[in-house]
Order: sequence, then structure tokens, then C-alpha cells
Amino acid sequence: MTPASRQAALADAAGLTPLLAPDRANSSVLRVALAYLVVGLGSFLLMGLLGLLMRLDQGGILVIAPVWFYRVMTLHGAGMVASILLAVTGGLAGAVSATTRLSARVLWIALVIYVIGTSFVILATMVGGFGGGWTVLYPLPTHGLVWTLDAALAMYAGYLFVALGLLLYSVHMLHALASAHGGLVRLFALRFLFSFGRDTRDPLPRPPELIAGVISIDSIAAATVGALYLVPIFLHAAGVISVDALYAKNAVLLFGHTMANLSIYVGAGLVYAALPAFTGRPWRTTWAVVCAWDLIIILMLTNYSHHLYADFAQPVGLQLLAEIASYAVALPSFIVTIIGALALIYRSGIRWTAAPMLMALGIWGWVFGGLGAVLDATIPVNQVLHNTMWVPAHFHTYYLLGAVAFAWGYLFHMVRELSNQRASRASSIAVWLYGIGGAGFILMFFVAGANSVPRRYAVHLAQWQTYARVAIPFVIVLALGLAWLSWDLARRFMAAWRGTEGPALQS
Amino acid sequence: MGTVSVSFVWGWEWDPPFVAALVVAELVYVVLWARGGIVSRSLRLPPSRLTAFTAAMAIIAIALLSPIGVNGERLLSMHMVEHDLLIWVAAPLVLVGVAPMLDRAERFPAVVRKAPGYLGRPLVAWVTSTILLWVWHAPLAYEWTLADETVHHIEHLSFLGAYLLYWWPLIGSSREIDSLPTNGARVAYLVAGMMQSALLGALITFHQSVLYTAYLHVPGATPVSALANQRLAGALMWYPGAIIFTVAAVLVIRPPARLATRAA
Amino acid sequence: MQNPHVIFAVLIALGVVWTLGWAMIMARSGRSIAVEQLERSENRIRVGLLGGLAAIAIVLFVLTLPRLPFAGSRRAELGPPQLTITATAVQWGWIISRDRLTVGVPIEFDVTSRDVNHDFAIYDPGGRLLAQVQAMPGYTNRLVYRFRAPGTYTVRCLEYCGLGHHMMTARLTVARQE
Repeated sequence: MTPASRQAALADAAGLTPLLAPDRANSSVLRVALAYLVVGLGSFLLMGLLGLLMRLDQGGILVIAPVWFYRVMTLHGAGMVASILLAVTGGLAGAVSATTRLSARVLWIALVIYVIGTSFVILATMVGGFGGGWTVLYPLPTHGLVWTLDAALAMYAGYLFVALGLLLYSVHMLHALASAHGGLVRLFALRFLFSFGRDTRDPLPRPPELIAGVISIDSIAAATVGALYLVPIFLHAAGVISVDALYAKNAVLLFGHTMANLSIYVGAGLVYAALPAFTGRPWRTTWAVVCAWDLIIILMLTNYSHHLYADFAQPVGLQLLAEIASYAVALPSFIVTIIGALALIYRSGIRWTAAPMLMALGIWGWVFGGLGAVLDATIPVNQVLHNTMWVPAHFHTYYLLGAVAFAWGYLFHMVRELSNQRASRASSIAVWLYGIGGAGFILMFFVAGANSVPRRYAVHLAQWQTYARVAIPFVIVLALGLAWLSWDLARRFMAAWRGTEGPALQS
Repeated sequence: MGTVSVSFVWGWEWDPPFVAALVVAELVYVVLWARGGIVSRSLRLPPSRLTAFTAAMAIIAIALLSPIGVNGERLLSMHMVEHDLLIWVAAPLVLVGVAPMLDRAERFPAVVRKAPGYLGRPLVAWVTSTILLWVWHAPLAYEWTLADETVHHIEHLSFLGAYLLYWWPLIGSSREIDSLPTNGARVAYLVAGMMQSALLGALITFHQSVLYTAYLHVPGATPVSALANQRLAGALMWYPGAIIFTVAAVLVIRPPARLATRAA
Repeated sequence: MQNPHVIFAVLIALGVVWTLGWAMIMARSGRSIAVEQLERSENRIRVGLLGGLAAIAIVLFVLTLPRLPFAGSRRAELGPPQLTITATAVQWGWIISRDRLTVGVPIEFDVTSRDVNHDFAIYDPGGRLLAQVQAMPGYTNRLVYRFRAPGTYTVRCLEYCGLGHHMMTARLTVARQE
């Protein structure tokens, strides 16, 4: 037995799934997964440079014309949401591929469609001058006054392609999972759920498979809403109808908020997939796991309207429902996923290399960002925090120190396993840089929000500039950490790519 | 999307030498197809190949001789449609028809055999098609084609040639010279091709003045109508390109098993 | 609930508690024990957390009910407004029917927009955000607010509305009642 196959056998015995299936049937899917992660995280780095530019402008250090600031801001937002979702969905596909028959062909096609969509967005903002914000909140895109209708249409076209790419991925994923488990009832373990764990006739899905099913359903819902929302928007742009502003806001947020929110849950799937490998402990599909994740299907779709608290035209009943849903969704995530992850790590004898460190960082960030989110989701509190820097504070925490950390961690895990080469020791230090730089960066957003600094302002008053200025050294530290991590991945990447065909033969 | 006050001319052009060339090409193809390839006599080529090549010839005829081609002198948007048909529809269809005939290429002299392989190197093909597309859209070059019919023919031939080159690594390569053996490579190549024409299309769409002033001198044209038509033309390079490349992705990205046998 | 500095302090306090807990787990990840020993205490922790967090959530929710910023709630809390002002947002400025206001009385701002979404946000002289409501085209949203101290207050736009978003400010002068 080679060391690799002995490891795989041990893993299997412990209920842990190796990346590469014993019959190597998923090697092509692992390659697509790597492509998604690399394209996604590479694009994240580029969008991060745009973000640095925004902070430099808001700090008064490198002032750019407001018309350019808003274009950069629009691309940064759209680009980040799309890139991070791409990275984590790729990782999740890789994670389930050993036990679920996915089609690399479909995943490649989805990638092409997705990339075509992002290219529309890049061209709309950078060439066309579109600066309507990634939220494209009607009627601003067609009422920007400094960009043309063509720019808005190109932006919408980009969103349409991205939604289609996401739809293709999710429909395929859901179908593949359902096939592997014999139907959706078994995939979501509904009999097990409703019998409080007593009915165990059906084999239970592994957590990453269950999670992939959950996020696929919500992706399909979000992408469908997004595509449908665009129909009246296009009709309005053609001058055929007028659209109700409240309806438009609900629709675009149901699409956009869900798309953004998805990333942390897909990222959680990566944690469920990788943590067992690091800790040597299986993460079993307990009743709590099934209950939490089945609930998340609904809860993820109901809390978007916490963005509408200041739209007093929204019916009060919906406002209160959003508040309840926002509190409620924190419970399954914290009680099942976070506690479960901590329990897996506690006294596990885990070896702290870059990949598990990144997962641990993401766990920290998810909860911290969640605290900020739950506070802002409290309606009276929202009155003094809505659209201040508090909002970017919480979602930058969820992303940078949550989903993004999970994505980097999973990519490190994949590259380590497939190339059979360890991460360099310096990468552990790089993760510390990432964590400290990232934490300082997001804390400054929270401080600014607590001081009522508005978000999305191209020009900051002198007294506001301090917050951005303090953030910048932290961004530099973060960038250094990310640069090193990128290098450590790049030097082993080709070996990992080749490793998708199986372990290298010892000569 | 803006008013076009230039009137659309309905009528086909009749260009005997050109039509003759197309007919001859079609006849040569039919003979070779019936024969089963250029060198061998035993290859059975499916009817779909014949359909593809014939469709390509028809599309070239339509692009150049139908009202689309006729109005290309008057409207930038029509000229764009004409070019789109050549590079994105006719060129790949020609390859679909012709490629399997080159399969038994080992009987060709080495030079003939190696040339498509070298020219068809993905990087060379992409660079060539990109350069040609951009050069011919530079105002000076473009207006030259409007002024001189011979140059216009050269432009069309070079577009066709450049894109036969571009599509070759995806459609035309045979067992011996599979230059994009992995799906990852095919995706990267497709995306590169898409991005360069999308960028050009976007630049034209958003350009704030009329690029090709010859269109201002068409009867009925005003600066406003010409600019509006230019926006439409840019969009006609940009959006249909996205759709074409999506379709191409669906067609050329292969299930891994088939890739393996091709590379073998 | 409406003091952002207090909210921030709450965040930091909870954040520190979480960080300590998280760090403790990470620090004790060394010497390993079998996972079965953990499972029972893990489940007890889970049930405890579920009960505790759900209780906190319910209490928090109930606490928010009398403090909602919507017009109906504020009217109930503060009494009928004694002054009604219309504020119309346009790209990129404010048209406010009256900018001299009185301390201590409930004032109703009827906010709408002529073009895109904006947000009518009232800042106190020290730069602190006090209240806000979105200005939506086709809707009039009513914000009822009572000023506690005289001074010059600033209205800022808090919903991204295009190139001049950061320049949309207005002044409200709040004086004592005569």
C-alpha cells in the first residue's frame, strides 16, 4: 500500500471522504473545481485592488474623480460577489465530486457563461461608465445622468448571464445529488427529520452533500428571481411600462442579498468537507445537522428584507417578519455549524497548517460579522446604522474573514492533497497577516459606522478620512499575507493539477 | 435605440465572379464529400458535414449579396452583421465541413500537413484573429474598405481566413494535432476570443463620436443617426458574440472520456 | 438602542467574549481525546445555547416593538405631530418646505423623491446620525421625530443615487420654543 492509499483507506474507515475517488472518476471535476477556485480567488485579488483604491480615495490619500470612484465601487461590488461565489461553489463541487457524479462538461459551460456575464459588467463599468452600484437599484441604472442607457443594459445583460451560469450549476448539482441519493426526500433526509431521528431506513447524505442540495435550491430561487426581475426592468428601459419602486427593491434584494448570503453557506460546506480531514474526526449527519440545514433553505430566503427597514412603505408585518427571520437564521448556523466545528477541533490533535488556520479564521469572522449583522437587523438600531459604514463592515467581515477565508483554506487543502506537497511554513505566518490585517480593516469600518459615517460616498469629510487612513496599513498587511499565500499555491499548482489524475507513481 | 434616417435598400447584389467562386467551391466540396475525403476513398462523411459546408456558402452569399451586404455601405450596423456572419457563422461551418477530410492527412506532403498545425497553434490563431479584427476597425483602414472595393474584398477574405484560423484549434484539429487537448484549455481559448471582440464591441458602442465619417455622407444620414447606428453596431458585435461563444462552449467542451480518445 | 457608540460597545463586548471562547478552543486543540467523550457535552451545550439564544432573541424582539421608527409607532409614542414638513429628494439636492424647526415637539417629515431612491437622514450638530427614512419615487414615507436639543442639524442623503450622492446636504435649524 502506498502512503497515499493507506491514508485514503484510513480516512474511509473513519467516515472521511478523500478528494479523489478510488476509481478516479471525478478527476475531471476536480480540475474544474480548481479552475473555479483559481479564477474566483484571482478575480477577488483584482477586485481587492479596486477596494484599496476606494479606501485610499476615502482617506484623502489618492483622490480620484467621483465619477470614477462610483464606477470602481460598482465593479468592486459586483465583481466581489460574483468572484467569491464562483470560488466557493467550485470548492463545493470538488468536495462532493468523489461521491456524486457531476459532469465536468456542464460545470465548464457554466463557467464560460458566468465569465461572459462578468465581462459584460467589467465593460459596462470601465468602458461604458456605468456607476449605478452593484445593487442596480431601480430606477438609478437608467437614471444615472452621467452614463448611457447602453451602459445600464450591458450591466443588466451581465447579471442575466451570471444568473444563468449560476442556474446551470445549481440545477445540475441538485439533479446530480438527487440522482445519487434517490430523490430529494432522501437528499434532505426528510423522513429522518420529521421522525426526530427515529426513521433511519434511508442512508443519510454526508453534510457537504446536504449543504450542496440546500444552496442549490436557494441558488435556483435567487437566480430565477433575478432573471424574472430583469424582464420588467428591460421593459421599463424600453419605455413600455413603469415599475413600482417598492416591488423593484424587494425583487432586486431577494436576488442580490441571497446571492451574497449564499457564499457563506457554501463556504460552510467547505468547512464540513475539510475539517474532518484536518482533525481526523468525521462530521456525522446528525439530526441537528439535518434540521439546521433544511431550515436554512427557507430562512436564507426570508431575511433579505432587513435591508428595507428604512423603506417605510414596506408593510410593517413584512418588516417584523424580516427581523424575526434575521434573528432566527443565526441560530442554526451558530448552534450547529459553528459549535460543531469547534467541537471537531477541540482536543483533536489537529496540525495547524495554513489550511486549517484559514478555516479557523473563517469561523471567527463568521460569528463576529454575525454579531454586527444581528445588531443591525434590530429595527430601532437599524435607524442609526442603515447605510452607514456599519453595513460594509458586517458584509466585509462575512466575506473576507468568512467565505473568502474558507475558500482559500479549501484551495490550500485541495492543492496539498492533490500535489502531495505541504504548504510552506511561512504560509502559517501569512495567515496571521491575513487575519490581523483583515481584522483591523473591518474594525475600522465598524468604528466609522459607529460614528455615523455614510457608506458609498466618493468624498469623505476631513473628520471621516481618519478611519480610512487607519484602515490602509491593515490592508497592506492583508495584501502581503494574500500575496504570500498566492505564491505558495502557485508553486504547487501544476503538481496539484496533474495530481487530479491520481497520485504520482513512485519511481 | 435612436433613429435611423438612412433608408434601407431592399435588393440583392449580383456579382457573377463571386457567385461563380462560391458555386465552384461548393461543387468541389460535394465531389470530395461523395468521394470520402481528399486523400482516401474510404472515409464515410456524414450528411451533416455537407449541410454545414453548404450552409456556410449560403451564409457567405447572404452576408455579401443580400440587403445585409448591400446596406453595409450605408449603415455600420448592417456592415457589422455582415462581418458577424462571416467570422462567427460561416467560418466555423466551413471547418465543420472540411475538417474531417483532413483527417487522413498523413498522405499529404509534410509542409501541407504541418502548416495548419503551426498556424493553428492556439496562441498564433488568437493573436492573428485579434490583430486583424482590430486593425480593420481602425477608422483609416475601415474607411479605406468603404472607398475601395478591392480592399473591401481583401478585408472579407482576411476576416474569413483569420477566423478559420481561430476556430481551427476548436473544430478543425484532428487526432495528430489536437492543440487544445483539455477542457480547461478550450475554455481559456474561448474566453480569450470572446473577450477581445467584446472589448472592441464595447469600445465602439460607447464611443462618443462617429468613428467612420464616411457614413455621415450617406443620403439621409445625420450625425445623430450615424452615432445611434454606431451604438447599435457596437452592440451587434458585443451581444451576439456573447451568444455565439456560449453556443460554442456547449458544442466544443467535451465530456472527458471523449477527450481522452481524441488525444490518444 | 439608538446610540451607535453604545451599539459598538455591545459589539466589542460580545466580540471579545466570542474571541476568548474561540481562542480557548483553538489553544486546546492539542492533546487529543476521543470524540465520543465530547458528544454528550456537545449536545448539552447545544440545547443550552438554543434555549438561551432563542430567549435573548425573543426578549430583543419584544423590546423593539415599542421602539419602531415607523410613523404609526412614533405617533403613538410621541403624540400627534405638531408640524408637518415635506422633503423632496432630487438628484442631487433637497427641497424642504421649512428648515426652521422647534425643539421638543413631534415633527412629521413627509419624504418622497422625484427621481431615484434617496434617503433622508438627520445628523445632529456633532455628526451623529439620529433618524432616517428612504425617499422613494412614487411613495411618501413619513418620519416622525422629536428634536431634543437646539442647533444646526444636517440632512444627508444615505441611499446611493449617483454622481452627486455625497453632495446632497441640507441644513435644519432647530430652535427653542418661543
